[in-house]
Formats: sequence, C-alpha cells, structure tokens
Amino acid sequence: MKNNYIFKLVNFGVLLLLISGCNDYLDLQPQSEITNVTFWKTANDFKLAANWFYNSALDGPNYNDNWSDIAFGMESDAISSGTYVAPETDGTWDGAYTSIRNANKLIEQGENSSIKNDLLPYLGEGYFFRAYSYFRLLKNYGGVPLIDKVLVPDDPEVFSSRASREDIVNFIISDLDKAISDLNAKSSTETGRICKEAAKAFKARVCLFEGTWRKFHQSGDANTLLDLAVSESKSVIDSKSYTVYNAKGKDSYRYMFIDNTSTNNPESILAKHYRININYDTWMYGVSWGDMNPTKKIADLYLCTDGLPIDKSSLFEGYDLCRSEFRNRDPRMKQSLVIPAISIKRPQFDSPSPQWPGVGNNRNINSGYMLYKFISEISALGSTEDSNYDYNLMRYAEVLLIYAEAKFERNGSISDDDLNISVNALRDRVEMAHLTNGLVQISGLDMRTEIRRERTVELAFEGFHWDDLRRWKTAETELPESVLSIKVTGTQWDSPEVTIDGTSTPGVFYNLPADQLENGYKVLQSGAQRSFDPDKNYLLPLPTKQISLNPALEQNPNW
Amino acid sequence: MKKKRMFYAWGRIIGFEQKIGLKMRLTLVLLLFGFLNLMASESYSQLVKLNISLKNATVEQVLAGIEENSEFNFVYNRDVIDLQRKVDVSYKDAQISDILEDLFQDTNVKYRFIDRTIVLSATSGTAPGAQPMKVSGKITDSSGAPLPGVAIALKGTSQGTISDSDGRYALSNVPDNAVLVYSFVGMRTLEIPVDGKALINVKMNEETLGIEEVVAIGYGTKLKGELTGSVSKLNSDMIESRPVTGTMEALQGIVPGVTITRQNGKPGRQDYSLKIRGTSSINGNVPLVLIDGIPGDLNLINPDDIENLTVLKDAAAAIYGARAADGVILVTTKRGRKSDKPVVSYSYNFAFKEPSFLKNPTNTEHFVKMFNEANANDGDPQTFSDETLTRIAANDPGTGPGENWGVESYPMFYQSHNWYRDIFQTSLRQTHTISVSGGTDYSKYMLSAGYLNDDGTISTGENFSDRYNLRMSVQSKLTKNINLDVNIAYDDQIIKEPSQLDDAINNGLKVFSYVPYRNPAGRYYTYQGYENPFQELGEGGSRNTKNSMLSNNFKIDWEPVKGLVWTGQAAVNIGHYDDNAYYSTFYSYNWDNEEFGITRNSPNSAYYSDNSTVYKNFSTYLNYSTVIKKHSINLMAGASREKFSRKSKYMYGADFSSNEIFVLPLSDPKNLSTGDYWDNNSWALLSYFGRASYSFNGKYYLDGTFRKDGSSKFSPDKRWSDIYPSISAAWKISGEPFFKSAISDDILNLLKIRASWGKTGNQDISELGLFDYIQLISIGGQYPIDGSSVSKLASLNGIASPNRTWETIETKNLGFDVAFLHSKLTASFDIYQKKNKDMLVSVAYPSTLGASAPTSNAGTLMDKGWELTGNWSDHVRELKFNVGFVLNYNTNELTDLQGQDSYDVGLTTARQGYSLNSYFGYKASVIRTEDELNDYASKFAGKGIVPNTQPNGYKGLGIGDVMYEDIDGDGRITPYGDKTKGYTGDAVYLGSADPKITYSVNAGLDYKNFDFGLILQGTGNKYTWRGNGNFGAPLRYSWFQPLDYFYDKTFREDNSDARYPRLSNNGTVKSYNYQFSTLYFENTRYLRVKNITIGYTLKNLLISKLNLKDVRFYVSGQDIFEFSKGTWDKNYDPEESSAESNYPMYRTFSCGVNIHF
Repeated sequence: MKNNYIFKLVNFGVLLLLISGCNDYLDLQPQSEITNVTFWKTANDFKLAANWFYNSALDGPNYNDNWSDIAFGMESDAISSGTYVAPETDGTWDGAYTSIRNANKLIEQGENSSIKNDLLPYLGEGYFFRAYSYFRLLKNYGGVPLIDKVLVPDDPEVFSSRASREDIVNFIISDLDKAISDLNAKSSTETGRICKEAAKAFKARVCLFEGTWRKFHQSGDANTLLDLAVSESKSVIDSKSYTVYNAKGKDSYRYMFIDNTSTNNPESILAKHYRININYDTWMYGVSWGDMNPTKKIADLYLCTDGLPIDKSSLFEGYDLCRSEFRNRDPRMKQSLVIPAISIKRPQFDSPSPQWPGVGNNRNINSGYMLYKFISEISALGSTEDSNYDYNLMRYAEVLLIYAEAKFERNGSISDDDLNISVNALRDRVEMAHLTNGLVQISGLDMRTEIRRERTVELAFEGFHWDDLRRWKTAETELPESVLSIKVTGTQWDSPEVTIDGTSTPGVFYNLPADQLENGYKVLQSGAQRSFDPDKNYLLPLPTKQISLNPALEQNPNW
Repeated sequence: MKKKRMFYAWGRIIGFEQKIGLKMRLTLVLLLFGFLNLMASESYSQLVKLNISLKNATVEQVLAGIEENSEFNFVYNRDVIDLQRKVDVSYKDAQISDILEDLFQDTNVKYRFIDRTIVLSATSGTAPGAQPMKVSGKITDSSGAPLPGVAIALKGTSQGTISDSDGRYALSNVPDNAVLVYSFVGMRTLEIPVDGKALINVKMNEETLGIEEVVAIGYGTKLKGELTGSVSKLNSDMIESRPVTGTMEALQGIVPGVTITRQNGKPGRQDYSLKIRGTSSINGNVPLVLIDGIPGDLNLINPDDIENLTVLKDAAAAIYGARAADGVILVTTKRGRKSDKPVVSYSYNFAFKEPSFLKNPTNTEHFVKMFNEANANDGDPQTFSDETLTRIAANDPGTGPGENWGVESYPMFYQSHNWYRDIFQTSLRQTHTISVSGGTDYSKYMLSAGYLNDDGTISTGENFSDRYNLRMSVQSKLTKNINLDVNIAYDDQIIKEPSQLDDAINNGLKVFSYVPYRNPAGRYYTYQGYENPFQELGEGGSRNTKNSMLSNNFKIDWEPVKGLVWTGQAAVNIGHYDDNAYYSTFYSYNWDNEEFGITRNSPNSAYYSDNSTVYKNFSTYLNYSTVIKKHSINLMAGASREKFSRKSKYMYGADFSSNEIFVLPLSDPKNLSTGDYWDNNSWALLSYFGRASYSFNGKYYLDGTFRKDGSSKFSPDKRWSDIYPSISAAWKISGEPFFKSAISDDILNLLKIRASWGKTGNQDISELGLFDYIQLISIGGQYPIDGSSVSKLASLNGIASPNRTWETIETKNLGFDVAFLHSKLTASFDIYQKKNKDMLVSVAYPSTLGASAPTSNAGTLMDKGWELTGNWSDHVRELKFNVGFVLNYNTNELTDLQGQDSYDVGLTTARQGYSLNSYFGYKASVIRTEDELNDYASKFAGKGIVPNTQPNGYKGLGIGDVMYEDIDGDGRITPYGDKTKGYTGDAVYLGSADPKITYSVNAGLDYKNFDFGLILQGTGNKYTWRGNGNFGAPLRYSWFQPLDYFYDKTFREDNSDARYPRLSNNGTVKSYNYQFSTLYFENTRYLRVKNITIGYTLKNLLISKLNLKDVRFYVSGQDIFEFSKGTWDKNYDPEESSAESNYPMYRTFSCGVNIHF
C-alpha cells in the first residue's frame, strides 16, 4: 500500500518536473524591440538608419570662434589662451567613433543587400557621414585609428594605432567619392538630405583644409588637393543648385540666419534643423546673452565701403564716438555687430530696447562689442520659440570662398572673372565695392590677405576661424596677442554718462583701471596670459583615457 | 445581529460610513454569511479517522502518536495517570473514542472532550459532577515571586478575572470540568483543567523566546530553535501596535540587517528603499519579497494583514537562488483560527501630518541685505537703496518701480511672505481595517478589508493617496490528508496630485519673498517670469495614478503517507497600472490684472497610459521528514517556473476644446500620439531546488540546499546558472550535558553557534535588458530632416552581449544566540561577508569600438558587516517591560571594477577601491588674511580651476574667497591630474552617502491597562553634498532668493570667522567658490524618535455586556523629534535627498482604537 502511494507520487512529481523542464519555456521573443535580424530588409529601413546621422553625427551650433581671435566668451578660453590641458575624455573623439560605427554598419548592410540598387542614396549618406566624422577627427587630432568595420570588443582593431594623416585624408576623399557617385542630385522633394552637390561641396572643404595645411605646414603634396578643391567647388557653382540668399534686400545677410519663413534657404547646403515642437537648441539665447562677443580684431577687419581697409581708407571715422567706427563700413559689420544704443529686438525681451554693453538687462559681459548676427527677433520669454532656427553648417558662400582661396593658393593669383563669380557675388549681396586685381594693385593691398579677410568677415562667428588660423599657420602669431575690444581712452565711452540719440547710460568704461586698458583699448585678455606653441598647439591632445586604454595610441607631440 | 449593529454604530461615530460606502459594506456582509453557512460541520472527534499501529509502546507514546496524527491534544496530570504502561495498539480508520475506550479499559482513567482537547482524569474519591464551585489560588513566576495582573479566563466563556498585587485570584461559578487559561505577556500561557480542585496554585514560566516559534524558511518551515542560518522574524505585534500606514514605514529600523530609507513625504510615493545587509551589486539589486510564497509589493499590502515576516539574510536565502542575492523577505499573512463564532477586529487611526524640515528662504530684509553685501564685495554700487531698507522695516506694501538687479519696469514690494512655507499645511490621514476570522475543524477563514486615506501636505490643489485592501484566506481540509490553502487579495492604490507638483514645490523656493501671492483683483499674481506655485498647484491640472493588484494564490498539500508531503502551488498576479495627467492652460496676470502674455500649458494636453501585467508562478515540491530515534531528517526537492509579461501603451493628446474635460476625442486629432509606455517584453525563470536538513538530539543541526536557475534574460548558451549550493550548521552548546553541569540553566539557558556558507545568483538587474543578447536596433528620437516634420531615426542599440551570465554572490555568516535568566535577556550576534564575484561591470574599451561594450561578469564587490541585537523582557510586579536594540554595521568595497578608476567630482556610484556612492571633492577653506591670499594667488591664480581676471568684472581672488588644497602637488588646482605624469588630481575621497552604522532601540512598558511603546532609530556617519542646486549656495543665482540658513554665515571683514566664503553676484567668483568642496559637505547622521505610543485597553471583563472582548485606545506620534546634524538649520531632513523639488517629510500625531469582538 505504502509503496504504491510512493510510486504514484514519484511518478507525479517526475511528470511535473518534466513539464516545468521544457527548455523552450525560456525562449522568448522580443515584443517591443526590433532586432538586427528583422531590420535591414527594406529601403525604408536604410533610410531610417541614414536619418540617424542628421540628428547625431552633425555638429550643432558651436562657440568655436571663441577659440580664435575674433570672438571672446564670458570667460577666457583655455584653447585660445594656450592653457588647455589634455582632457581625460572628449566628446568629439567619442561621438565621431559612435557615428563611424553606425556608418560602418549601414555600409556593411547596404553593400551586401540584395536590394542595393534601391538604397544607393542611403548608402551614399553612410559614406558621407563616415567621411564627415573622420574629418572632425582629422581637424582636431591629425591622424587617428582608421576603423572601417563594425567591431565587437574582442576584435584586435579596437586597439589600433593611429593611421597617418595622409591615410585618413585619402580615406575621407575615397568615401566622399563613393558618396558622390551613390547620392542623387539635389531635388526639391528630399530637402534637407545630403545630395550629390553637398558631398562635392564638403569634399571641396576637406581638400582646401588639407591642401592649405600641407602648403603652410610644408607637409606633402598640396597641389593635388587644391586642384580638387577648385574643381569640386567649381562643379557645385556650375550646377547652379544653390544661390546666394537675397530675400531680404540689403539686410539679407543678417536675416539669412533668422529666417524661419522658408524651409528652403537657397544658400543652405547642409544645416542642423530646429523646429518648434520638435527640437530646439538654446544657442540662440546664449549668444544673445553674451556667450560670444566680437573683438577688436573682427571689428577692424570690416572694410570701408570703398573696399579699402580702415588704415587705408579715408572714409574711416575713427573711434572717437561710440558709433563712429560703424560709419562707412562694410554693411556686414552692422549686421554682425550691434551699433551702440540702437534699439533692436532680442529673444530676452518683449519689445525692442536700446543696446548698451554691460548695462542692466543687456549682455552678461561688458566686452564692448555686442553680437548682432544670429540674434532672433522673436521674444521668447518662457518658451523655446527663439531656438528653432536652422544652424547652417555649410552654405553656398563658403563654396564660393573655397573656390577663390583654392584658386589663389594653387596658382598664386586669381583672375577678376574668378573673383566675380566668388568673392564679389558675396559683396554684391551687401552692395560692397568689388575686390579686383586692379584695386589690390593700386591700393597696395595683398590678394591673399583680402581673400582671407573676405572669408573671415563673411563666415564670422560661424565656427571656421580657429581652423583657418591653424591651416594658414598664422595661429602662432595671432593667438598670443592681447584680445582687445573697443577704444576707451579719449573716446565717448570714457565718460561718467554716455548719451547717444537721446538715450543715455552710466559710463561702465569710465575711469577703467590701467590694467584693463592697452593702448587705450579695453583688454579682454592680456597677451601675458596667452601663448601658442607652434610645436604643440596646432593639434589638440588625444583624450588621455584613450591612451591609457590603448597603449598603441601615441599622444600628439609635446602634450 | 447585535454585533453587526455595534460595528455599524462605531462606523458612524468615526466616519467609516462615508468612506467605505454602502456597496462595500453589503458585499462584506454577504461574503461573511456565505462563509458562515459553509462552515456548518460535524464535530471533529466524530469525523476524524485515525490510523495507529504500535507494538509494545507506552501509553505516553500512543497519546503522542495520536497528537501527531490529528489535531487532538491531551491534558493530564502525570502524577495520577500511569503513562508507562505498555500496550499494543493497531487501528485503521478508527474513531478517537474507540481507541481511547480500548486504551483505558479497566483503568481508573476517564476522558472528556473539550473541543479538540482531551482531558484525562483519574476517578478518585471526589464526586465528579458539573456543579459550579469556587476556585482560588496564587500565581508566581519561575523565581517564586507573586505575579500580579495575570488574566485568568474560563475557557470558552467570557468569564474571568485578574490576579491581584499578591498574585492571588479567586473565581466563582466554575464548573468542575472547566479549563482555566492563565495568560500574561512574556509568560507561556497555561491551560489547567479544574478537575474539581478548589485550590490551584500556578507557577508561570517565561516564554522561552521564540524557540518553539515556527519560522518560514522557504518551501517549508522550521522551529526557531532549529535555525542554522541568519534569519530574523518579526511578528504582527510589532506592526499592529503602531499607527503606520505602510509596511515599509513599519519595518524601518526594527529588523536587524534591514535598512529602509525614504526619500520624501509625497502621499503614496515616499520612494522607500529597502536593503538587506547593504548592497550586493553595483547594478542595484533589491531583496525578494514573497507574500505567502509569491513575489509581492510591500508598498501595497495592508500592514495589518501581516501575521509575521521573516528575513533570510545569509545562505538561508540561497534556496531562492535566482532572485535572492540581496536576501529574501517572507511575509506570511494572517490566517483564521478555529473558533465557535467569528472573531471580528476593527481598528481605526486618525492622524495629523505636520510637514517638517520645510526649507526656509530669507525674508525680504535678509535677502536685500545679502544682495547689497554681495554688491559691496564685488565693488558694485548697492542694488537696494537705504530707503528700501527703511520701507521694508516699515512693512510698506508699496508698488514702487522695481529695483532688483536689472529689473526696471516691475513693481517693488517691501513686505515679506514665505511662499514655500505657505504652499504646505498640516493635513489629515485616516485608516480603517476590519477583519473577520474563524473556523471549524475542517475550514478556517479570514477576511479583511482596509482603507487608507492619506492627504498630502500641500495647501492648494488636490493631493492624496487612497489605498484599498481586500484579502480573503481560506484553509480547508479536503480529505484527511489533503489541505487546500487559498489566498486572494486585491490591493488598490490611487494617487492624485497636481500635475505640476514637483515644479510648484521648486518654484515655491524661487519667488522673491516681497512678491504678494495675488494681485489687487484677487488673481494669482505673476511677477516677471516667475511661476506662481499656488496657481500651478490650483490651476495646472492633475495627475492620477491607480495601481492595483489582484493576487490569487492556491496551494495544495497532500500527505499520502506520514511525513511525506507533496505541495503544489499556483499563483497568478494580475496587475494594472494607470497613469494619466492633464495639463490645463492657465494665464498669468500682472499687478494691474492684465494678462501677462505668458500662457502656461499652451496648448493644454493630457496623456493616458495603461499597463497590465500578468505574473504566473507554478511550483511543486516534495517534503519528507522523519524522526529515527534522536535523528531528525528532512528532505525537500522541487521545481518552479515563473513568467512575467506586460502590455503597456500611452496616448497623448493636445489642444483639447475644454480645460475641464480631457477626453481624447476632444483633442485636436493632429496632435494625437501613441506608443509603448514601457517595454512590452516578457521574462521567464525556471528553477530547481532542494534542501536536506538533519539534526541530532536537538543539539546538532546541519542544513544543505541547492538551486539551479534558467533565465530568459541571457543567451541560450549562458542561460543556466551553476548549481548554487549552501550549507549551514548549528550547535546548541547549551544542550550538552557538560554545559548543563557547568552553568545553571537559571543563568544561561541558551548558547548556540551558527555558521553558514552559500552562493546565490543575480539576474534581476535593472541594467540588464530583457533581450540584450541580441543586437537591437533602436528607433526613436526627434529630428526634422526636411525642416518640417519628424523623421524616424534608427541606430544600433549598444552592442549585443551573448557572453553575459549570472552574477554570483557568495555569502558567509557566523552567528551566536544566547539567552540568560530564563530567556529574559536574549542576544544574537552575526558577522558576515558577501562577495559578488561575477558582478556585471562595464569594462572600458577604447572609443574606437564605437559603442559602450556590454557589461561583463568581471567585477567584484565585497560586503562585510555584523549585526547585534539584544532584548530584555521582564516584569516588576504588574509592570511588564521590554527593551531591545538592533545595531547593524555594514561596509562595502568595490574590489575589482576592471580598473575602472574614473569618478565624478561629487557623488560617484562606483569606483574601484572605494565603497558604493562615495563622494569625491576638494578640501577647502576660506581665505581669511592678506597673507593667505597673496600666498595662494601667487601659486595658483590662472591655473586649473582658479581663474584670472575676467572681462565680466572678475577682479581676481580676494579675501573671503575659497582656497582649495593642491593635494597632488602639481602646482595647479584640478579635479583630475594627468595620470601619465603621476598626478592623481585634487578631488579626493570625502566620505560615503551610505551610513556604515544603523541602529534602533525599542522599548515597551505594560502596566495594568496601560501600554507604552518607544522606538528610536538612527544612523552613523553618512554624507551629503547640497552645493550644486539652485539653493545649495547663497545667491548662486541672483534671480532666486537664498535660504535664510546662509544669512550672516558668509565672510565679511566684520564676520571674518564665518563658515562660508564671501557673497558675490559675479559668475566667476561664484563658480569658483562653489566648487564641490568640504565647505558644503555635511554629515547627516541622526537619531530619530521614530515612534511613541501610549495605549489604554479596556479588558473583556469591564465591557463584556457590550460583547466586546477588548478595546484599546491609543495616541501615538511618528517621527516626533530627532537629534540630527547637517540639516542646515532644519532646511533638509537628514534622510531626504538634496533635490530641491523634494516633497517635504512630515511628523505624524495620531490617535486610534483597536476593537476585538
């Protein structure tokens, strides 16, 4: 009897254990996630993967010009001061390799896809953004580890040493060539996406950057790259895909950055988009508070309306009055810098108010010059509506400037015809006198200086100038200089109360202590606190954690 | 019916009627009737069939055999009954009366059934009969001292008395066949048959604390005296006697090894965290909570439903391998007991909650003075004129032109309002619990219903938490060897709060004190762009969440042969979580009652989300126990499977046509969006487990368990864990003859040593996704590629982790239990070590990998600690008292994080070589002299974090600024040094946020009808840094008013020994001075008077006419007072986080009543 019980019971128990023992009980399938196996089936899947780069691989608005001599932030900047120390980690480095991983995956899947022909444009975008990411690395660090496949932690390539600068450049150009061949030509329907012309324009940027770097740093064959820069930029010009923005008459230059009425700026080649109720960036608000302030360097760069620099032109009215230096100048000056006491709209305020440096509700810094470029006219107290403008990463103006500069640097000269299709197309927008070989000759100007001036002035505060100083190899002379601002000594600024056009303000620059003045100009940072070591500072240091994780990585010289 | 009327009457008196509602009352009554009908039954003695077969056994063995096989127990006097007489018995399916008839044939022994108790008596000269008589006697304790206050009750009646101060008692009208029950707190209850005796002197013995208590240990139970592992048990009296609303609140501080902290005082969302013996993984595992064997939520269950609670802390938890890495809490709910009639209990508590530790912003005068002081320090003209100060002193309401920094065209007021204080107020809370229980020989039941209404302490807007608990428990004997145990519970919690609650609390600190709450027209006033918190609370809409759980738990025990029990358990928990919120549009008004131009929540919007979860648990196990002479053996083996699945979604709508009705059809269809609210994936676990226990002669105990688990969270290759073993042993030294001969049992009556070792696994890790072993693609993000509409974005979601598997935690424990003076004084000590050897940690790879490598089983965390508890229970005549304490020490070290040495300045969760949650920062002091300034500036100005002069008006370091120590000596102040050059940086270890020591003391007194209870709870050193918030440093933002705490605590020439650096409005000065340093670092250890309760009980005798057994009234205070440090003059509760939007904690003062019918 007992035995029978136990026998039954054991049977029962075994049965239950077996039921619970079905191993596929643990084989569950994801219900709300997409896996690598189910993805990559349709062209639309590839499109979604390509879309990611626009949000995550593109640079956003930046304060990079604070690293140069034409702008100054709230506080002095370690990179431009020469006091930068190698950081432990760095967002540019990490971000670029994240993008490269995703691009490698898109390319790997696309090249092996049975529907490759249907997804060529997305494959092209994959190549473009891989090149774009390597260019970000190249600019900061020079040669970096070259990763062209999707890695897993066990792969030895994770511990690669740095490829040469040349290899990286070749890789970027080869990726861009593939992108150019895969991408569609600019269309009116797929606005916002990278097109064939955009890839060419970007290739021109890379080639100019590296071509001039080689030329001035005397490191290798510059001419091949300069030729490419000329031909690619010319090809973009000839495609007539883009035109100079002219929708707002003589104020077009300033409005181009704050025109939200059209999603199709004809000058924009590549932009980061910010749209109401979708995304925003507080950069616009920041520049209006004083996160980026023009310096004397840029103020003095603006030509007089006769096309001559201030030290050569009779039209220059000097600094005696707060507004005198703004008279008879390249109209881009007053569209980039605020004329003191002028009443303008700013996002921080309900209504237009007179602008004074460093007073009351104005800027958080009394640097003297105030930025006007990018300042939105929408009052956005308590909302983010001031933060929904496109931020141009590449606009047609740059292509024109690339063409002029590459042409000149390749040949040592540039024809008036070439100047007319490039530099002077930009001057026409603001009704400035043309740059011609004749004017240069007559007035004893230097063509290279004028082309560089045009670039600096046109692209001011858009984040190009620090890179430009480095590739021109002029950083070692420009950056150690004192950073100065308005002239104070003996001018209208140096009074207890300043009155212009009936509005007045307490004189914040009145009786400035001597240590805040240099030759009568307000000092933002004294040259004594700045330095630039040409054997070290032309490249940024690699983040130290990467070196300790991967001993094969070599730090840049002297860091 | 009388009883029900009574219940109803009480309900009316205390507002029960409104709260529960007619429908629920009816339901309860119907349920009750249904069960009473079911329970009509025959007498147990007639029904039960016994099998017993013994050869050459003593009568005593036969009686013991019957007791073991049935629910009968025998009461007899050894001196009159011959127990050693040898007999042979052999019965199958026999009735008890037949067996007894045979057994005592031809003897003078008579038997009598009283319920299930069988009284054996010897017929003697005195004539038996049922005449009432008077019984008297004296009661003494084990030392012979008289024992007053003992309750003597005539069993089965409401008749009884209490012993007087000499321990004497007298009871008349006692039938000679009656049984007297003697009970006294702390003493073992005695039942003595009268048997015609007129004088009964009684010696009562102290309850040998817990030795015979049954303790749940996972898939079985054990007597407390037989435990080999570190197990703490808490009985319902520690929960019931206090007016707490939640189980977490009740447990805080009173269970050894268990640490509970709460983050804030929001009704229903106090964010309690529960830890057993520290943390065993950086991945933040939590203890497994099992309610009647099935995972449940301690936040939801009604604490009054808990019978007892067991905490398995060491290898004892290993039987739950897969999820037991951080210990297990076994909750056993209350069960019905056999009774002639239903036992009804009702309790009510009414409480005032007074917000405590409210942050205190400066008043207008202090603010203005601080602001002007900052101006003076910066060399700027003073912002507020002397006239302003005069007007403030005069309490001038004023609306003059604004004069705050940069504020021009706004009104200026001069009075002082404490916005933050005024958004809070004292609030009310009430709880009701009613339960009905009873049973027969075949079926027992327990029904309970609870209601909690907990109002939030905000003064505007609706904020409360309502909790409803219904529980039904039925145990039935289906046949003589099959028992069915059914537990069904429905717990429901509704929380309502303003949808902008957190924001409003934060804004309450931000508005200047001079700003009035309303404009002259009576509308909420909006000053500049400052949100009006009252308006946000009152007009911004509301959020409602509803969290409900239906728990069904069925268990069958089948004992086919003696000692062998098969158990099958099936449980299905169906959870539902609703969360929706409305954001109503509201308008801002200025002083002139014009619309301000700022519209909040525009367009209005709402979201609705709902989640349903199903958790299924099936387990089966076989248990065999036998006693062979002095050897006692228990074997158990079983298996279980669990599966959890969830369906969740949300819908969002905006631009509703009305601000009152937020139903989705009224929203603008183009704004509708929908998606998954949470991950809709499932997980499953499959487990096998077993235990073998052996004990010899009640002195030596040995216990071994194994467990093997499979988890769906790992790739098929890595799915199955190793076999997790555990082994534990105990030696009751006090049971040894040599010990007994050396030490008197009167002095030291228990000495036991326990040791255990075991391994458990961990996969219940929030970091671990459910399908991490497959490469996932994430689709999401917001980006307008075409410049107008949102494009979907797809990217690789990390790197798949096919190699990850279980974390393994190895636990060692050594413990001692001692009891002195007949267990009046008891103590336990445990020392332990937990080592997580396969902890999932991120292993840093070069960024060239392009994504974070998946965590791998490569880390080690070592936890060490000890626990000491002691308890002394005694009485001095009628005064009974007990004092107990719990002292825990726990520390951990991340011994191997794969070299992960990175840390943040501030709170760092994990850094190799340090404990979890360590703070790193600068060592700092204030520059107080010119010499210090010159010396420091010459060394460090312009280097590292020390600024040079700046164009924003920063003129360089000054007296009153902070100087930071250059710890690594590299000549510059930097948080991290250049390691390649041997510099370690200047941010050093400052302390840990987790206390090493936690402790509590609880004391109780009983005197006659009074009782008193006290609980103290506290921690040792634990650190907090608050400097990073808007208010963590004075005038951090010139547009927010500082905390008054900082007033007069900052450096000035005439206050040169101030603790904090000089005030400033200059951004560079502030960001430099307010670095993460020791200056703002606080030790927030505390000792809290957690609870004081004073009760008075009307015992059965006094009010027996009302048919009540007893009624206890009490008053109680919870979180009454504390000795604490680092609270910044009581701006922060020592337990709360430094978040400024924290809902404040509160003190509770309550009164209540417990009634037993």
